[in-house]
Amino acid sequence: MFRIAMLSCLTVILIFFINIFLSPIIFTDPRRLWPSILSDEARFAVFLSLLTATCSTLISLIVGIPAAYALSRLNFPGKTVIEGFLDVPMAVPPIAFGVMLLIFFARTPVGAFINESVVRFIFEIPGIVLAQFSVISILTIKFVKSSFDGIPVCYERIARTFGYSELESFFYVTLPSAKRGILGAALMSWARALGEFGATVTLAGATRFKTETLPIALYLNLSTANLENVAALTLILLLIACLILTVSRKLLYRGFAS
Amino acid sequence: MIAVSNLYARRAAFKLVNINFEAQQGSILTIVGPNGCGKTTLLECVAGLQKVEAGKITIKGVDVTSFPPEKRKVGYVPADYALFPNMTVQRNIRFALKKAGDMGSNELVKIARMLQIENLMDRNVESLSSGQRQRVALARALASKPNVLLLDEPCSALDPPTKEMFRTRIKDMLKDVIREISVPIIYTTHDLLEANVISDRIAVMDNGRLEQIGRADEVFENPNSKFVSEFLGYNVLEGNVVSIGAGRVSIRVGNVMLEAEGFESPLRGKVTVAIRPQDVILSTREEVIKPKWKKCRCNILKGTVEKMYMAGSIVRAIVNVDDVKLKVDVTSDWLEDSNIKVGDRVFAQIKASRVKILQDRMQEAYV
Repeated sequence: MFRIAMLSCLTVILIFFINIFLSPIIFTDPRRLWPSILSDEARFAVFLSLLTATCSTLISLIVGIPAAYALSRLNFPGKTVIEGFLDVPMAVPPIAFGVMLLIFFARTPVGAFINESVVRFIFEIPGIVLAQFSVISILTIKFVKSSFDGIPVCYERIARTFGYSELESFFYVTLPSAKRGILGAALMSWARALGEFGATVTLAGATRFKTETLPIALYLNLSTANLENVAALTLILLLIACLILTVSRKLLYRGFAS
Repeated sequence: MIAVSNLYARRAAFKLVNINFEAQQGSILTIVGPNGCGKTTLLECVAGLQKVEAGKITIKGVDVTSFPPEKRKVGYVPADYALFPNMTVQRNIRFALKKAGDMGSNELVKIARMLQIENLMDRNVESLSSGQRQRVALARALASKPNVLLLDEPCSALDPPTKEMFRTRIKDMLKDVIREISVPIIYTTHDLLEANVISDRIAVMDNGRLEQIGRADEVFENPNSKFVSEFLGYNVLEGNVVSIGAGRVSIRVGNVMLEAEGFESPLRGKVTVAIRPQDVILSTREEVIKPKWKKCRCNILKGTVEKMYMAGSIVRAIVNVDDVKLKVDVTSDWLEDSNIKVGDRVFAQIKASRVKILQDRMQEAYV
């Protein structure tokens, strides 16, 4: 009886998700769906989403890997406070990030200078990358840190006795050992960046064929009640999500050994 | 040669205090002590993996105290071997060879042959047995062409029957290593038998201090402190000097009177007495049973056998002599012949010259 009750709950959840995942296919005319998938707008949104998500993921890895290493391996004053602080952005809605970024670049002297003279973020493509970065960087750090945590520190220490400096030990020992975890972190961050909407729409705006990522295209088409396009874009997002999560599950659950 | 002098180090609340030792090229110094006494911390100080607060570490005449680990040329084999799990045996060894400036296969083949791991080179380290891992870890440490080799409890990961076999095997391996590259080897263990088999010299460590250092047989014969005596398994008894004569002294331990001889300096007051369990003979008769002891001064103590149990290849008996518990080691053959059982009244016979008065307490007890 107990097992039946547990399995029933699981079945209810599965039916719920299968239903909502299949609804774009079932309730849309396939003859009108295909042209929507191949439309200029959809192709632009896919290209822009892949480009910006890749950029923001790369930047968050470049910054996140050393930051995660510092949190995993080094002892410094305020480490516990910082570790606690890392959980805060997880609870902040992305739209709030967008608002904060917008205020920073529009209202503060430093932000305004950067926006005017260095890189233009407001309502521009770099704004999408920055918005995605602000949402995914913490995720990257958390994933990579847990990967470093799983690698015993003794490997780096022993490498030092063989003549390798701290930096060399990191590159030759720690990083290769953590590569699966880092790849998994990159994929999860990339997936999250692809689906990012709140911060992006606030900072970069929702301009057709300019800052139109997949979620923004979805939002724009929904606002004009173009249901074929909405269904097509939803399917594309769903497909990408399934692909990424399948690959990352394989990477993460096969352990860290190459 | 490696020399450590006046070394102080701290790891959290644990401290290494005033460590001094030397190990010559081609010699094995074993640091022996209970778990948590600081053996690993000491090796890590030598390897540069643990910060030193004061003191000096000299390797081949060069003061390396302030050098980072990568500049010290120290081959370190930690207790868990720390073989890189994502590499094959060969890649593990090549990893160390690479920095030693030798990427040729000659060195690799030589080391592999010496440690008999030629057939393991393409294996993943995770598929190796403990003994094979031990040899690969040693090979990797040697590949870095060290000026000193540090082995931290290399047999601790082995189960007891395997350990027995590896004790002698590792001794042979280390002999080969010394023949090939004459470096000082510092070896740690908490196992006295292992220390005895492996070492040229041993250093007994307790709570961050080196208590005694010397040739293995000297230390086993003449422990210089209460801790070392207890660690070596001696009976350690607290007593008071009752009378002194020419080269002999009578000591009261509880209700038991003990005679000791061979001391030049006069003693008085409280002393610590150490008696090796093998130096006590049990007899059912009161007279001295060992012919060689007939003409010697001998303690004959009447007591009762309280316990008997196998301790390795010997039988350990606990004899209660007027509430003083004496550990006595006898062979199982002898026990069978003598027919002594738990509860029997026996006479524990101890030659007076085998009753040691410990130096640390002698200092206080000198007149």
